[in-house]
Amino acid sequence: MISALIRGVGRNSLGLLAEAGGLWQLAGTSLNRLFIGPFQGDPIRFRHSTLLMVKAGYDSLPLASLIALLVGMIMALQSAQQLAEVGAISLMPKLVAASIIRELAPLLTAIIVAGRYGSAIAAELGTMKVSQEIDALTVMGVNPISFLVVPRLLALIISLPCLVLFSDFVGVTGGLMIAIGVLNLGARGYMLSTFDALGMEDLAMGLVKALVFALIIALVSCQQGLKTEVGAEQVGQSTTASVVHSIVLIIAADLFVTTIFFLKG
Amino acid sequence: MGQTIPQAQIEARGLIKTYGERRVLDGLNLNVNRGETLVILGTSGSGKSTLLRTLIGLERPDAGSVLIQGIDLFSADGKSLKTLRCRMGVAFQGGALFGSMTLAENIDLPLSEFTRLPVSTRNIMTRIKLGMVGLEDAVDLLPSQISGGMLKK
Repeated sequence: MISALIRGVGRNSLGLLAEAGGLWQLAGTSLNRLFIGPFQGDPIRFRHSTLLMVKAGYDSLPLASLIALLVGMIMALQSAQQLAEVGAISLMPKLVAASIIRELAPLLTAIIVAGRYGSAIAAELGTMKVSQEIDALTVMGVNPISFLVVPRLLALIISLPCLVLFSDFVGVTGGLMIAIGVLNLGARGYMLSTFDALGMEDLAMGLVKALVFALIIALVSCQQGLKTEVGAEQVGQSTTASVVHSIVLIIAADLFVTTIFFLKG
Repeated sequence: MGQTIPQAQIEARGLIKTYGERRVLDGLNLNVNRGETLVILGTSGSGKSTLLRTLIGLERPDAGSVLIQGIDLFSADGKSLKTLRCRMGVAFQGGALFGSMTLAENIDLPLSEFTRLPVSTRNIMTRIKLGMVGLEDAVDLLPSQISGGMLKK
């Protein structure tokens, strides 16, 4: 019984290490192909990347905006209630803006994109693997990393920070709507307080997070898609795994980036 | 003096491939000569697909080597491998056409990847190639919109 448990833990740990190693390797190869490849005769497929940017960014805009708006409103209500108790409701705009821009907009937008677009990547690449399309690419002499992974990586690296910036704006607007409509605060005062509270570092933290999250979503989704074995069931498993692994890694990376900015002061 | 082309176009030397504890290829040697047609027969699970996947470089053997026109598939540098692959053709069981691309885009893919031909020339070549197999009217169709027989063509 105990030895079976130890064996199970060992097997799972080795599996996890292998997965992490595979992801690290894919990250190295993809980033090499993205930044060094063009100088070695392996051009970036910009047309393809642009089409994928539309799918990853533009198509996620309505959902990301709606979530940011609702979260901005919720944050305003929650913080207003707490701050009113200590007579510091004037701090509400600062709190809402800082929470949205430094934390909530990057995190929630990344989770939406991981669920919406990351799963689509895993399913698409998984289906291509099952139907031997990736084998066909390899035999043809086309590198699957350059052809499939790099355009998706580039699309996410560009579109996710843009989405996060837009969510920042919409989230703050959500807080403003509550401030005007429910708390009877002035719009001008709210915006002045917001701008007063924010510095370039807040914006930079949000954008650094967006960039890291984009890398995670693209690499995890591509890795899960490319390691799909046989059959439709495996495609489903890869799709689920891509979303679950992406979300776990996004939250872990969030903590890491936040800690670095915190220690930096 | 011209370069001599080896008689054996495909050579497999001492191929060994094991999945878990099951040895599928056990020191296999094989020569396929120029102009020769070879049929591989065997029961299910006897390693036919593994052998074919190894011969086209999709599966790395545990031991042994595969030489295509004298070039070792698993130790060749990137450039030689790319050149070699451009001269290879494989008909996959399920067609392996790219589902998100039209037939014309599928045909155009190697031309756009490996040549610098203008788009207009590539379009003409694509239509000629589809016309050769009677699929000139299916240029803009997706693989899912055509029959299995048309896919094989």
